[in-house]
Amino acid sequence: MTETRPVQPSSHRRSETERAGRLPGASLLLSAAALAVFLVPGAARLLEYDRSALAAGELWRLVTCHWTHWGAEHLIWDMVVFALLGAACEGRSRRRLWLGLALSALLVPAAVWLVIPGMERYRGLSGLDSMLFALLATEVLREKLAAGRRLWALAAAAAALAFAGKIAWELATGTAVFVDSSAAGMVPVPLAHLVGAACGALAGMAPMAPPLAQPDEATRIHPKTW
Amino acid sequence: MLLTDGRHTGVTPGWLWGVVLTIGMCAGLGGRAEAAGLLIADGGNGGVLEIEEHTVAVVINNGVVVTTVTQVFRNTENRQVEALYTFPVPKGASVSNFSMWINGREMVGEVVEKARAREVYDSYRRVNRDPGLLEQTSYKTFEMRIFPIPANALQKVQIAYYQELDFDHDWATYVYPLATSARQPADARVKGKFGLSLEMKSEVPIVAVESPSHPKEFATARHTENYVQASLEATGGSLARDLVLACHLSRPRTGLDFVASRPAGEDGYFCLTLTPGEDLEPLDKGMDYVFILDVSGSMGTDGKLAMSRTSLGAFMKSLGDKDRFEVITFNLQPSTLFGRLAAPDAASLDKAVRHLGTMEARGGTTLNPAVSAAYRYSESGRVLNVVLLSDGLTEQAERAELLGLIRNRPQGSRVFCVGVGNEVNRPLLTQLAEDSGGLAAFISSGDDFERQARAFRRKLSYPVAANVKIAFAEGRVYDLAPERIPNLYHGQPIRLYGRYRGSGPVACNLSAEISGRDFRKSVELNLPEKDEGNPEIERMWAWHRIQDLLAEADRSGSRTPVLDQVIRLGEGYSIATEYTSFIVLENDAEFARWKIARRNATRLERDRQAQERVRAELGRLRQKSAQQLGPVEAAAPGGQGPAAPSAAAPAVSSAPGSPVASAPQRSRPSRGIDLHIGGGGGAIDPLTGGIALLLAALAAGTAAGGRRDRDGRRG
Repeated sequence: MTETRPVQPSSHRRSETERAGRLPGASLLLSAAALAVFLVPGAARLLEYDRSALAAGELWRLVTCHWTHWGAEHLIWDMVVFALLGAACEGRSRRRLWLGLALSALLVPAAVWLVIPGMERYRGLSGLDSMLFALLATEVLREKLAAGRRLWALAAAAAALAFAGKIAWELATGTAVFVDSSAAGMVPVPLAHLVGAACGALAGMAPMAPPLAQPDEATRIHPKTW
Repeated sequence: MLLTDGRHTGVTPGWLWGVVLTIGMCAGLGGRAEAAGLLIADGGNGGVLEIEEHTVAVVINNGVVVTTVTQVFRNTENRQVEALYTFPVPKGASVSNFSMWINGREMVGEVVEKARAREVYDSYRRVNRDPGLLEQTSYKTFEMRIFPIPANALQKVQIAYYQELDFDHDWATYVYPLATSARQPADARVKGKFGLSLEMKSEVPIVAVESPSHPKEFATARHTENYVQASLEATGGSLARDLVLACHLSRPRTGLDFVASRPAGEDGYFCLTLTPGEDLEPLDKGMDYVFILDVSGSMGTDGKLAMSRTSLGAFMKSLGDKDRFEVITFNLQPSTLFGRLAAPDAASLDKAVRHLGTMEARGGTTLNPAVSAAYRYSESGRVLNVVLLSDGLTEQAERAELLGLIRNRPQGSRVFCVGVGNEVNRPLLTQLAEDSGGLAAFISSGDDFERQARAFRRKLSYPVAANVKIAFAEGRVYDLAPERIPNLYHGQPIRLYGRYRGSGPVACNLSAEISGRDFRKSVELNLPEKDEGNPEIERMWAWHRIQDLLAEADRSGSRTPVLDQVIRLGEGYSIATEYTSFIVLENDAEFARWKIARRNATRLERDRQAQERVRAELGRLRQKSAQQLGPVEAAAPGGQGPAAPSAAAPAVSSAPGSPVASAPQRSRPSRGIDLHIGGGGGAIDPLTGGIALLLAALAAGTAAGGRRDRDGRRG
């Protein structure tokens, strides 16, 4: 007689949820990098978005600028939010996370270059934070809608809408909401949040093939089923 | 120096008053700059008259300070005396009024061309009627004579002077000079009331106010972030120490603040303040410092050498690991400490401190060899900062040579001058610093030396905005002062005064070189049709114009072409200069007889009305602030409590460095414009951060829920 077992979740789904219990190494490492850049004297100057330096060919600044900050006040929230949202995204889908990071890391400074030519220098992780926010909200929304859990979906949608409202306010007024960006000695760049959020939504909605499942106890086909 | 002869004929009923007010002739007076205003019985057996009452009212309007000193003296001798009145002119101050009470009535002086004033004065002397005369012959002390003061009688005088507030980093320091060498023990205390009240309004938010010199004696109150009050009141107080009040202002971003004054029917005046903010990043390159310490004889007075030692010690301690330093002491010849540039490690610092401790003030001042020696430490690729601590009382003959030496400095070197004490050759030190692209700072006996040193060091380690240019479109703005805009240093605002026609918006174009990059910005300023709240600006504009005219004339070698303009400005704005003098006559009829227009009396009346309006406005702010006080919002003792941001925090000032009130959320100054020098960035605020964290928690929670469901199903 063939032994019957309960139906297991799909390997794709299992692998994502199981991953949630793992250490979100990439997010923590990237957050720590922001702290290190802040602490090493002179590093921020070498890595920031500097229009003149970019024009002179120092293209690494397009990517590294996100990990530079104007001051501790600027760094702390950027870093904490990156670590937590990054960890949450990493637990769900590393591939989407990397896609979002790659898109936003390039497109945010590109947008600053194209849209704000008068901005000589730019720093901050908040563009990437916005991407992470939108990515996570999109993923949770998709998941909960698919699972028919409307309340959770509504909560995720509300968070996404609140974030969109904040960006709209920033764009309209040119100032940051609930934060004295002047205290950090910088000019708010809401465009970075807009582009970042768009990248996050794009990465969250991008069609993506399920990853190859890792062979483990839960997914291994039991010999007795043969 | 003009002196009255002391004769009294009794031509007019009551008293005849003889007043000669003369600015002391620079160092030639041998440092006789008595502070606080003293009446010394002159002639006969001499003796010092007692200070019966001494009150000082200070109003600071956006960096322009008006100090009004009222003093009542008593002749304690049993004889009629002629009194010599002496008063120090604080650094960079412009005497704008002198009044004395004759027969119970205030008589206000007028400014006229110097030769004419002398003519009027001499005519009275010939008939033994003594008018008052104030003459400036230099920048330091002025003196006058009062005759006669009867036995045991009181004499009341009032002096007002304008000056700009000293800024160091975010600290604005006001000093009421009291400590000088000439003071004798007999006049070091006020017999009666001594009081100083200060009111400050500022477009740049005020974070805290404190007194480094009299922390326990001053009461301070910060009514709003743009208005503070401080006061000190004592009976039988000591006048032996300078009174120092420090206000911590905070302008987060580099920007412009605009203040205007426009009397009805006239072109307007404005003051544009360019303040470096917190958005300028420190330079992380090491620099070389050569400290030149003056140990000549003049540094032995007023504790100037001790002050220099303390300041230098504090400055050396603030050096960074990548910096190097050397100490040169000089009087007639220079002497080096290390003979090389040393790292600021514990051993070197200890050696330097011990070395400075052995220094004694003696001999003359020959500065040139010391500066030349400092230049020899210049190395390519490193910035050399030559920091000179001196009273600047160098030989006059050496001055031209010194200026030439400064002009021919090695590339990459700057000269910073620290004037020590109240008797300091401010013009020389300022010119030396400005000509080399450096800065001049001045320290007083009541200062917090460590704070000063830290602030000075910050200036050197932050990028400088060089070649600053400010231009206005449409030609409505004219007569800017100063014509040469100095470099912008961290924490040291630049003030630009000017006049304007018409009203409405005008484009202001600013350009500078910051850290090797060109910076350009155009901002819009609104020129008001009417503004009677800031009349102080008018005199400061005129004073700067006079300084500019004289400085340019000195550079060209002749003052003759500018004298008419200087006299016109002095008379028009009641400013005592080397070419205009204050004269006090007995009554209005005498002024009319000499066809001397009562410009100062009119201006003073208008200024006082404006000040009344400002006081009324400030009174409303105080009242509003007081209404917010209550059991819940009440500040804790000492002003350190959970006071509401706008609530008053009347409290005895705490120790230096401990602000009397906590900083509220900053708001934009009403007419401030940020320049956005620092660059851009996104900001995650706490609320967004909170939502993000909730979202992350939601995501984690649903993931965990999913696991539990599965685990449950497995089990």
